[in-house]
Amino acid sequence: MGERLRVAIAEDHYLVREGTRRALEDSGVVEVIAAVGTAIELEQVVARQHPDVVVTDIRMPPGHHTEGIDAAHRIRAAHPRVGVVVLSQYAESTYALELLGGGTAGFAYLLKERVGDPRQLVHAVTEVAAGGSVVDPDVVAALVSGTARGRSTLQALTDRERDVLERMAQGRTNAAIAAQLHLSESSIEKYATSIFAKLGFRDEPETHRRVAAVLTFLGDAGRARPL
Amino acid sequence: MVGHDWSVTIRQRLPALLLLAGAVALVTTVPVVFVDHGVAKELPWVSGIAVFFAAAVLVWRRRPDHPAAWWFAVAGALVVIVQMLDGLLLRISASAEPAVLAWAVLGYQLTSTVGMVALAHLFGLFPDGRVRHAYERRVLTGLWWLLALPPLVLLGRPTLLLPSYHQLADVPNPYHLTGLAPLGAVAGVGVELLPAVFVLGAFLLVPRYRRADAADRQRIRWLLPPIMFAAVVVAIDLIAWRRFPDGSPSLVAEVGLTALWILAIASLPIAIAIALLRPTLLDVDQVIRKSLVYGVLWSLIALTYVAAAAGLGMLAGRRFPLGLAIALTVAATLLFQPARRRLERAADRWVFGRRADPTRLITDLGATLAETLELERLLPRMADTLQEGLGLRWARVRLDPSAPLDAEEPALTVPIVLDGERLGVVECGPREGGALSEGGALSADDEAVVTTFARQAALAVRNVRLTAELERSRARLVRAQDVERRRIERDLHDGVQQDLVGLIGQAARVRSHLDDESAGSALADLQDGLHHVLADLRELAHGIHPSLLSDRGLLAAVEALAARSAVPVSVWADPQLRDRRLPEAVEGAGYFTVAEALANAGKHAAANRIDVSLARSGEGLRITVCDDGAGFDPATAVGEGLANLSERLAALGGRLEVASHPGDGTTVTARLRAADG
Repeated sequence: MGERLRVAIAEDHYLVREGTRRALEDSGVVEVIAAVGTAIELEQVVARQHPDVVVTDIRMPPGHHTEGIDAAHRIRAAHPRVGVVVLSQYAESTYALELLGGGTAGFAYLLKERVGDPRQLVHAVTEVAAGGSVVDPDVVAALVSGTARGRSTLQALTDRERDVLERMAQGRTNAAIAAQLHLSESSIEKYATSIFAKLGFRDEPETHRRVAAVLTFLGDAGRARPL
Repeated sequence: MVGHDWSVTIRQRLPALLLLAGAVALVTTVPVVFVDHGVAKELPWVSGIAVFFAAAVLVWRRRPDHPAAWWFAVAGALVVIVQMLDGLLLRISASAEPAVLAWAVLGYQLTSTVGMVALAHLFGLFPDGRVRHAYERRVLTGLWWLLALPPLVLLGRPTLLLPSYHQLADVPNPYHLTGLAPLGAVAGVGVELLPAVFVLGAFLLVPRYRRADAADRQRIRWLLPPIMFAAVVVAIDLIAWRRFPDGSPSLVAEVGLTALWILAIASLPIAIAIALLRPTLLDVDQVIRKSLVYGVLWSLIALTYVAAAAGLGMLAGRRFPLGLAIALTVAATLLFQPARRRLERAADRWVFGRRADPTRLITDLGATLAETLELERLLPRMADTLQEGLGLRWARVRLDPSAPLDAEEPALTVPIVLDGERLGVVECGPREGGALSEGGALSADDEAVVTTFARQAALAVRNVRLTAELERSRARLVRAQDVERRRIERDLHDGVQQDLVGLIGQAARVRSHLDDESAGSALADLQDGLHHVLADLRELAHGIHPSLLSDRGLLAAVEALAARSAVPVSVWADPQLRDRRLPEAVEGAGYFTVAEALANAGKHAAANRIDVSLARSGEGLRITVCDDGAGFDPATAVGEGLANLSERLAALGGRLEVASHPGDGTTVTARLRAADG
C-alpha cells in the first residue's frame, strides 16, 4: 500500500463529521488530517496543510447557504491540484452543476448518505485526487423518469442512445449497462461513441467524456430558454 | 299714522295697484283687440300677455316681499296696460284730433318705456332682484333717462310716432318745434328701439350668472329653455312664411304656428314664475323629471339637426342632379353631426351638469371612492370633486392640518371627525369669480354640503386605512408563513436530516465491524430503511421550502421543478430574471404557483407537455403555466390548492387567473408585483 491520501473534512454537524472521518479512515487509504466545522476554517487548513482532497458539506455556518460550493471554487482557484468532494443533502442537479459546471476535473458531488457507503465515498475521494470526477447516481436518477424525451440538446439522440446515456449518467459501467439492456458490451461501446460524437465530445479522454455527457444530461434538465 | 314713510307705502302698494289696473285693462281690451284684428292674428300675443300677467299676479301674491317679484308684478301689469293703450291708440287714430292723439301717443310711449325699464330690472337683477355690482345699479338707474325720449319725440317730430306695426297713415304733430327736429328724429329711433332695453337686461344677466352660486344659477337657467324655444319658433315661422310667399299659409300650418307662438310667448313668464317660486322643481332628487327635460332638449336638438340636414338636402335637390344632392345631404348630415354632439353635451351639462347639489357631489364622491384605495390619490380627487361640485377656486383635503402651507386663507374649514378622532380638515377656497370679500363667500347651503362631504370623507379615510391595514396584515401573514416554512426546512436539514446521516454512517461502521452474517443483513435492512426515511425527509423539506429557492432564486427553483417533473416541461424566462432576485414573498408565491400548477397538470389533467413562462411585465412578474391536459370547468372546480394560492397572491397585491375548458388544457396565470407588498 502506497502513500495514504491526505484529506481535510468540513462539516458542521458533529455526528456526520465524525462518521465521515471514520468511514474514510477505516478504508486504510485515507488519512484525515483535519476535520472542521466551517468553510472558512477549511480554507485555512488547505492553505496551511495542503491536503490532497477536501470533503465538504454545502450548507454551513455562518450563512447556511452554499458556503461549501463557494469554498470549493476558491480552493480550486488557489490550489489547482486539490480534489474536492462535496457532500450534499440536496438531490437537485442545480447544485451539482454549479460545482462541476466550470470544469469537471477533480470535483465530485455526492449525497450525504454515502457516509454510510464507505466504498463509494472512498472511490470519489480517490477519483478526484486523480483528477477524475463523480456525480451521485441518485442525483441523476431524480432526473431520469422518462423526462429526457423532448429535451432540446438531447433531441439528436435516438431513444436507445438516450437510454444508454441515462444509465451512463447514473455512473454505470458499460458492462452494467449492457447487462441491463440485454445488449453486448461492444454495442454499448458503439452507442457511447455515437453519443459522444453527437454531443461534441469526440476528442476528449474517456472518463471526461462520460462526465461531460452526464453534465449535458443534467444541465439540459428544466433549463429555461430565453423568452 | 305718525311718521309713516309714504315712499315705502307707495313702493309696497304700487304693484297691487298696477296689477288691478292691468286686470281692468285686460278685461276691457281683449274683446276690442279680437274684434279689430281678428282672433287668429292676436291670440298668440293676447294669450302670451295674459299668461305673463297671470304669472306676475301669482308670484306677487306668493312672494310679495321678494324684490324680483316686485319688478315682475310691475312689468306684468305694465305689459297689459301698454297693450290696452296700444289698442286704444289704434281705435282713435283714425278719428281723434291730432292734439288728443299726440297726448295719447305720449302716454302710450311713457308707459311702454316704464314697462321696458321694469323688464330690464327684472332680467338684469334676476333672480333675487337685488343689485350685486355697482355697475348694475348705474346701468339700470340710467335707464330711467329713457323717459326723456317720448317728450323729445313729441316736441321734435313733425309727425306723430305711431306704432309702426299698425301701418297707419302719418298724422301731423301739432306740438312740433322745427328747431328740435334733429333731436326729435334721434329720439324717435330711440323710442322704436325701446324693446332692446329688455335685451340689455338679459345681457346684464351673463356676468351675474358667472358669479352666482349654484342655487341662483339654477334659477337663472330656468330662463334658457323658453328663450331657446322662442328662437326655434322664430326660425320655424320664418321658414314657414317663406314657403308661402303670397302670405297665405294653409289653415293647418297657421293653426300649428299659432299654437307654437302661444307656447313660446307663454313659456317665458311661466319659467320666471317657477324660477322665483320653485327653482328646485326639477332638482336632482327628481331625476326622472330631469331626464324628461333632457329628453325634450335632446329631441329639440335632434329635430333641428334633422331639419338642418334635410333642409340642405332639399335645397340641393332642386338645384343639382339627384346623385349630387344625395351626396350633399350625406355630407351635410356628417357636417352637422359635431355641432349636434356639442349641443347635446351642452344640454347634458346644463341638465345634469356641474351643480352644487349635495346628492350629485356625494354621488361623484362615491365614484371617486370606488376607484381609489390609496390616500395619496384619494385626497386630491376628493378635493377636486368638491372644488368642481361647488365651483370653488380651490379645495383641499388634508390629513395633517398642522403642516404649514403657503396658501390663501380658506373661506371655509370643516374638520373631518370620526368617533371623536380628528382625522384632518376639508378646506375650501372662495367661489370662482369672486374674492372672499365680495360674493366669493360660501353660503349656509354650501357649508351644509361641505359638512356632509367631510362626514363621507371621514368614512372614506377610515375605509382606506382599514383596507391598507388589512392588506398589510395579509402580506405580513404571508411573509410570516414564508419565514416559518424556511425555519422548518432549516430545522429539518440541519437537525433530523443530519442526525439521520450520522446514524446511517454509524450503522455502516457497526456492520463493517461485525462478523455475524445475520446481524449484518439486519443492519443492512436498517441502513436501507434509514435511506428511505432520509429520502422522504428530503422530499418533505423540499416541499416545505426548497433551499434552492432561497439560495438561487425563483428561476433556478422553477428549473429544478421542471427537471424533476414526470411530464416534460419547457421553461421560458426573461433572461434578466436569472440574476435578479425578487422579494422572498414574491419568489415564494411564484414558486408555489408553478409547483401547484405542475402537480395538477401531472396528477389530474394527464397532460403530455407543459409550458412554463416567467416574464416581467412592467413593474411586475407574470407567470404562466400552460398544459395540454384534460382541462376542467373553472366555474365549478377550482381546487383548494389554487384557491389558497389565489389568496396568497392577493395578499401580495397580485392575482391568479385560471383559464380552462374541458378538453382544452389549462392555463394558470399569476401576476405579481415585483416590489414587496
